[in-house]
Amino acid sequence: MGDDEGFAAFVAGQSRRLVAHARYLGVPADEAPDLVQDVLVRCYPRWRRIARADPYAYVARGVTNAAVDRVRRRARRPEVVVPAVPDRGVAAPDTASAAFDEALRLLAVLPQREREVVVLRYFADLTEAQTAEQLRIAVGTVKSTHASALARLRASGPVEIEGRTP
Amino acid sequence: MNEQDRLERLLDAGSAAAAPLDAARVLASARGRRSRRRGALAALAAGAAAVVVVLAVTTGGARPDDAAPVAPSPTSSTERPRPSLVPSPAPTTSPPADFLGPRYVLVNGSVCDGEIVCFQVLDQAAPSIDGMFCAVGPREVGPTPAPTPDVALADGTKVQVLGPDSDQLQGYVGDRFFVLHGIGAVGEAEYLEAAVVCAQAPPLEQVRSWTLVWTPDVPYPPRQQQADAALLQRLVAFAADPAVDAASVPLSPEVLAGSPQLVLPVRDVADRAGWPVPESGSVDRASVIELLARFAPTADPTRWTTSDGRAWRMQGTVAPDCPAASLATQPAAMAGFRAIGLVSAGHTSCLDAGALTVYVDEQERVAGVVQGVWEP
Repeated sequence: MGDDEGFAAFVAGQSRRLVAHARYLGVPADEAPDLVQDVLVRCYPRWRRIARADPYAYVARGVTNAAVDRVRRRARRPEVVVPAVPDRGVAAPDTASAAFDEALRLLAVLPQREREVVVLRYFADLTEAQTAEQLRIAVGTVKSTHASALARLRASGPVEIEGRTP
Repeated sequence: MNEQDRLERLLDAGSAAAAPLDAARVLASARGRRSRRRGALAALAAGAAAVVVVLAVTTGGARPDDAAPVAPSPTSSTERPRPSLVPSPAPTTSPPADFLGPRYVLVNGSVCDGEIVCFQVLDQAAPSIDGMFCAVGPREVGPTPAPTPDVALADGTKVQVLGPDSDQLQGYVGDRFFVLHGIGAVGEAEYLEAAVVCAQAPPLEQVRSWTLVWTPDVPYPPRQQQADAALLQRLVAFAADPAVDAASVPLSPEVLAGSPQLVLPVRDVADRAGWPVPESGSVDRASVIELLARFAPTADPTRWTTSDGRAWRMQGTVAPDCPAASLATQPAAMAGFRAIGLVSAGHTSCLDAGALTVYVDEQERVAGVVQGVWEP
C-alpha cells in the first residue's frame, strides 16, 4: 500500500476516534474536525516514517497537543470570542449519540486538567507516566489529578453507558 | 464492572458516534500543503526575496537605522541564533515624527519549546532592554507572503493581513512598532499564529493602521480574521477615548462577566496620579500600554533594570491558570517595590509566557518587570 493509500486508509479508519478524542478534550463540535484534519495534514509529509511505528499513537498525541493548546488558549483569552461571528458552527450531528452525549456531559463537570487526565488515561489508554509526559506534568500530579477527577465524577452521579445505568 | 471500567467503556462507546473525516478531502489538503511548501522552498532557493508591505501609516520620522544599538539580553536570539529564511521587511514608509517617543513597548509574547518567540518590551531609552525579544521558534520553512484580503475596522482603519511571523515582527520592532496582541503558537508550537502590530505613539489614537501578522502555513479563516478585527475594534475604542470606560466597550455579556481584563476604567488611566492599581488580578492590554507610556517622560531609564542588572526576569510559577501569578511570587530583587499586575496572552502547549508584573517604587517609577512563566 502506497503512502497516500495508507494515509487515506488511516484517516478513514481512525478519524472518527480522533475527532472524539478532540471533543472529549473540550474542543467544540464545530472545531474538532478541523483540528484533527490540521494535525493529519501536518503528519502527511512524514507519513512514511510515522506509519512504521504506531501511527494512531503519534497522531493522537498531536491531537492532544493541539486540543489542549486550543482549549487553554480559549480559556485564557475570552476577549477573542466575539458575539456575532457569522460562520459559527451549529450543533454537530455527532451529539445525537446518547453515549457520546453522556460522555461529554460527564467530562464537562471536570476542570480542564482533570478532563485531560481522564481522557488520556481512559480513552487514549495511556499509562500514568505517558500521561504525565504528554501533559508535561509530574506523575504525582497525574495521580492526584486522577483521584480528584474520579471523586468529582462520583459526586456527579453514576456513570451510564449507552443511556443505561449499569 | 467498576466505575473506571464503565468510564472507559462509555468513552469508547461514545466515540463511535463522532463524525469521521472525509479521507479524500484530507488527503487533497495534505497534498496541496506539501506542494505549497515545496514551492516556497524553491522560491527561497532561487533567491526570491519575500515581498512584504509593512504598514500603511504616514511618512516621516525615524528610519530603522536610527534605532539604538541592540544589546543582547539573556534570553534574546543573539545567544542562540537561528537561520532566518525570510529577510526582515524593509518598511516602505515610516511613522510620522509625532508617533515617536522615547519608549516603545511590546506587549504580549509566546514561548516555543522554551524559547521566547516574541518578547515584551523594547525601550529605546534603556539599552538593557532594547532588543530583548524575538528568538525565533522552531519552524519548518520560511513562509511566503500570500495575498489575503485586508480587514477594515468599522471606522475605516485599515488592517493589513501579512506574513510572515516573528522574523517580521523583529523587523517591525526594529522600526519602532509594537505588538499589541499576540495569539501565540499553535499545536506543536511551530509558529506564531498571529499578532497585531502597530506603530506606538502616545496617545494611542494616533495610530493609523494595524497589521495582522500571521504565518501563511497557518489557516487563517475568515472567522478568525473577523474575531481579530473585532478585538482590534474594541481595543481601539478602548484606548483612544479616555471617556470610554470598560463597561461601554461593546463586549458580549459573557466576556464582561468572565474577563479579569476589564476591571480598570480607561478614564482613570489618563490620570497620572490616580491610576487605580487592583488588589489582584490583571488589567487590560490597553492599560498596560498607557501605563508604560505614562512612565516614559519621568522614569530614570536605569530604573528599568533590576538589582542584578537585568531589566526583565523570567520566573516560574506554580499557578498555571492564574493570570496574576506573578503577584504572588515576588522575586527577591523586587522586594520592597509595589507590584502591578499586567496581562499577557502568550501561551503554547509547552510553556506559557504568563502574567507580566511591573514593580514600581514609592514614586511610581518602574523598578523592574517580571514575566511569569507558567509550566502547566
